[in-house]
Amino acid sequence: MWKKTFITGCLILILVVASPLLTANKAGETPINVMVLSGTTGLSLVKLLEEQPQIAPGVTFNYTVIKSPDQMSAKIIAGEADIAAVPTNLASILYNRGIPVQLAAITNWGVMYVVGRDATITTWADLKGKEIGVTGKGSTPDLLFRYFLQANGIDPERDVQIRYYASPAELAQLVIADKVHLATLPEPWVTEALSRNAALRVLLDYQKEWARLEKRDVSYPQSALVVKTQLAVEKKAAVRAFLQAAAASSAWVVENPSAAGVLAEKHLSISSTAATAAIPRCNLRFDETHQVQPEIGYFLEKLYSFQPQSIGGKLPDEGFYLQK
Amino acid sequence: MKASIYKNRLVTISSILTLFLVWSMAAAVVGKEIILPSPLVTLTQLYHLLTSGGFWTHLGATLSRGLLGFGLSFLAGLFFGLLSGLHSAFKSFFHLWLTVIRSTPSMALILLALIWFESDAVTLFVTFLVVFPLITQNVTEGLAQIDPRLKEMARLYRVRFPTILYRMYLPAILPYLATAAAAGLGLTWKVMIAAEVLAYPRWGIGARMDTARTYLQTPEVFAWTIVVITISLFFDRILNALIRKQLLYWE
Repeated sequence: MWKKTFITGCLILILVVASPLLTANKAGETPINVMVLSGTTGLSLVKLLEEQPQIAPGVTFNYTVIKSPDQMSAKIIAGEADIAAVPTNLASILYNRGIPVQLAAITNWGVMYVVGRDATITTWADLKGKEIGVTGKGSTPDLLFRYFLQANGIDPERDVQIRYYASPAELAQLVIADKVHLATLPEPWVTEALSRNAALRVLLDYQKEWARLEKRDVSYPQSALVVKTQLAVEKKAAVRAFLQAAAASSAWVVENPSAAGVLAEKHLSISSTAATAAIPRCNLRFDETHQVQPEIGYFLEKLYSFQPQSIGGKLPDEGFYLQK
Repeated sequence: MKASIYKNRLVTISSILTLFLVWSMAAAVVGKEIILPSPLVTLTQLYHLLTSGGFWTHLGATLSRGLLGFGLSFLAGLFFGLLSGLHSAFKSFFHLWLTVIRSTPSMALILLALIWFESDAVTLFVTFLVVFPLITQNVTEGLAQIDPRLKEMARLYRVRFPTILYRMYLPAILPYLATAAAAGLGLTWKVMIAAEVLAYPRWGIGARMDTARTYLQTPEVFAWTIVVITISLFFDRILNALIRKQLLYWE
């Protein structure tokens, strides 16, 4: 009896230990692990998640969808993620903290909006005296929000009441339930809120305000793809091919919102109608780093001026930007 | 006597040194500040914190919130503990409630409180629900230890209630109250920080810890942790000193 149990136990142990080896050896070499966030950063890559195409000869790409930015940074620090979708400022923090990653591409150019039911708010100056919900103190959305207020002559400490919430998911629920009347939300939560409470409107647009204040043609580079430095050197061709495939996926999503919505529901746990409606507001535009490096540098400099720690205490050097 | 104190000191010092040594070695092995900062890096960060503006405001906010929460729990616990200790009907009535509250995970309390209240109230509410049952149950238990014959005697001799309270009940519950207070105050800081991390009050150590985590400033998270440990030890010492003095007085 005991002997049998023991032998079974040993067999299970051997299987458990050996199983990663088996899957890893199938492709002949270690696969490249691509990790995306289940939000708008994942949205542009949804076609890759669905089709899992053969991007480069002899290289397998494994796709994982991660729920929160915290888990994502843990995976990157642990070296488990080879290519990962992260907020641009987090990429800079990781690089400045000595984690060997490089910025490969920008995936979207801002997904932040102010949502509420008070239609009299049409400019940022109208926020004076209001109470407003913001997520993630010290995050890019928070820093930009305070900047926009100040630029419109509003003191964020005195003229408005900012209440902080832990996550957009939580804040969106409170907005839908009318417990919070004004909130800054990212997509796809904006669409989620609008579709579940008919009284809500998109009142203000971060992206337009940024372009207006900074006198720039484009909005700010909010989310990015990072690549492990070692991988970028050793498998340059595969990385390049991946970036091209990702750009194609992004373009396809923008042109086919309804088909992309269906895939988003399957892979990213966003409802297909919400995803379809959200896509035009997600400012998806895939640019490789070398195409838009001045814009990224400008954005990071600006964040640095608000709060140096938000990009890791200093501007990243040239090694941060993946070159062609 | 003197030799044994000296020996104790030696053990304490070597204990601290070993802790630092193991910590330093682990940090050296890991080699990434972002995962495990070395003691030196952490202490430097702590120095920066102490000298930076805002440190005392954050500390003061957490301290006052913690003490207020603990004070309310203590008073309410004393009141309800006396009620249930003196009347068994109250005891049976509250028993279920207290058991339910004590069995609820503090994280569940925090999550619910986040939905119900604003951030400052969240931290107070959660601390209260965690600490108050502890005090209540200990007070009740202390009263249960009184010799029934003593109670009977007090009744027969028609001793006035204030005298009974002061001479019989208070000495009986004091050791229990002391243990409960020490445990409760320790819990207060733990729960308070957890609630602050999630509720995000404008000022507070927990909120600062969360910001440091967002920016992946692990040394700062460590430094704040040291601050919290110091607070906890400091109040533990004060409470112990108070209790010793008070118990001596009663004896």
